[in-house]
Amino acid sequence: MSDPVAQLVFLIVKAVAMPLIIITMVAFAIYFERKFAGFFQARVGPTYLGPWGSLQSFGDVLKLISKEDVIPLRSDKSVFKLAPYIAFVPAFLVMAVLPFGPVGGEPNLFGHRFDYVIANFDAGVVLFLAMGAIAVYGVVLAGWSSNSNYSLLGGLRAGAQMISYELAMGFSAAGVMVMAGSMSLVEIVDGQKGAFWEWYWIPQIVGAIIFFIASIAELNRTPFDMAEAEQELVAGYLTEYSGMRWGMFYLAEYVNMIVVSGIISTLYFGGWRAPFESWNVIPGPIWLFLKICVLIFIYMWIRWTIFRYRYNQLMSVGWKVLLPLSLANLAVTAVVVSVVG
Amino acid sequence: MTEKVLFVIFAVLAVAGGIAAVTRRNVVHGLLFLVFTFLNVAAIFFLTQAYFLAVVQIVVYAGAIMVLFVFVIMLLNLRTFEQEEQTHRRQRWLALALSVLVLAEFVIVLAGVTFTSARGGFTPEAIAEAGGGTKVFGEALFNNMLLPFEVASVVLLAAMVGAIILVKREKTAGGATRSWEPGEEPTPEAVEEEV
Repeated sequence: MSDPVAQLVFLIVKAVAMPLIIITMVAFAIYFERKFAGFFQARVGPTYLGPWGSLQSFGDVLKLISKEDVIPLRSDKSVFKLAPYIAFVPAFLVMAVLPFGPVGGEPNLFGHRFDYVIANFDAGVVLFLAMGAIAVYGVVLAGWSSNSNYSLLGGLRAGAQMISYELAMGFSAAGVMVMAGSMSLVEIVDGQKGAFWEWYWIPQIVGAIIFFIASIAELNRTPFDMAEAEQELVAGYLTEYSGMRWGMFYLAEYVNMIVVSGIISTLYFGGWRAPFESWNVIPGPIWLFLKICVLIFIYMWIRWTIFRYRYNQLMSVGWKVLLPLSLANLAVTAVVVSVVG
Repeated sequence: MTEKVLFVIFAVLAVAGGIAAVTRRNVVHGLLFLVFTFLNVAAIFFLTQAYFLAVVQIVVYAGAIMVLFVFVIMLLNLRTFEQEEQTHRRQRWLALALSVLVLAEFVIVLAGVTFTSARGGFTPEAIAEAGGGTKVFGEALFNNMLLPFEVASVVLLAAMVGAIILVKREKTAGGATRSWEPGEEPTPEAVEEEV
């Protein structure tokens, strides 16, 4: 097999395997979310299907597919049908730029070079932000097309919230870009050679915390799930959705959570690198997987521990605390990097 | 060869999206087709290996149209807007004249461009040697293109000041009522007033 053909085969294998792995992870993320929610509230969570209820998500998917597909009579039908896909697809596209192992170097698989990333180009972090901007459409369009007041309010809240927190997120990620001198996720991981105290989370601790908080708002999860606030808006933009269309929004939320965890691991926690250099005998994808799992657990921990913010509190935290802090962080980082080298 | 086929596909989709954007009576559908057009233009940037430009195209335009979208929902009553017959009949002729002018401008500019001059020495190899597209783009923007860049930022600043003044005026007219509706994105000033 010549090298271009081999690279094409590798590319197709990666592009097919990655979404399948993510979907499987989503199924178990939903199971663990429900299990943890149970434990945090002194319940047991799902127990019936499979050992310790571990197959519950697969049962849920079968249930969702077999449910009636209700489309409101007065809704904008074409947009109503389109919205779940717009919410669902961008999250997967980000996976294309996420490195899950070493890139470049010597041939390592059947005499060919296997790059542990689908697309390696010099604007990976910005692609992540761009896909966040596209994902807002899914939510806002779902809210608008349902032709229901609760949906519209939820959609607009989500839109305003995601646009606001995207700024803080972008500026805190810019700190990492300045340190690595690149916007490519592959080169950002290359900039974090060595053990865990040499990763960017120590010099960029402010940026890391801001990025994490902003990512909770981007994911519309408690304590920032104003868009779905049950007590006020029934279910926000999801009110009129049912069956698998609702399921796609639900899946998208978890896919996004996995992807954002992957991005945070890559930006601040060394990506696929082991915490000690001697531990690098264990391959990169496993370390990335473990880091993603820890971050997902923290998301779930926060969701079932902290109360929901009020809407104007959310906005003032975003604009008056996180945005100025992330700008200051970027300015200090830029000065230090240009002085020290 | 593959690149040419992909270019034709994306170019046709972009033009089709543009035509659909101006012919839809439903404003929201029009906006969605506009986003579709911009995504296809971004895909063409990807084909020319201008990755940074492609991604920024998505960030900037998707974000901008989102704001436009929210404004359409908040400020226009869609149903009356759709039923309304054309009330600005005189604008038609002005619009026609301006579009002919813009078309002529495009033809004049594009007629003088060949593929080599459009590159301006920025071949993929030269860009890779200079340290990647993002770096080359940034250096061009802050050296040769500094004046247009600064002019654009002044224009944006003027737009921001204008938006703030509009919000302020509304607040004094409304007295003690809040200047933003629940669910709408409040301006920082409005939040300050509230808290």
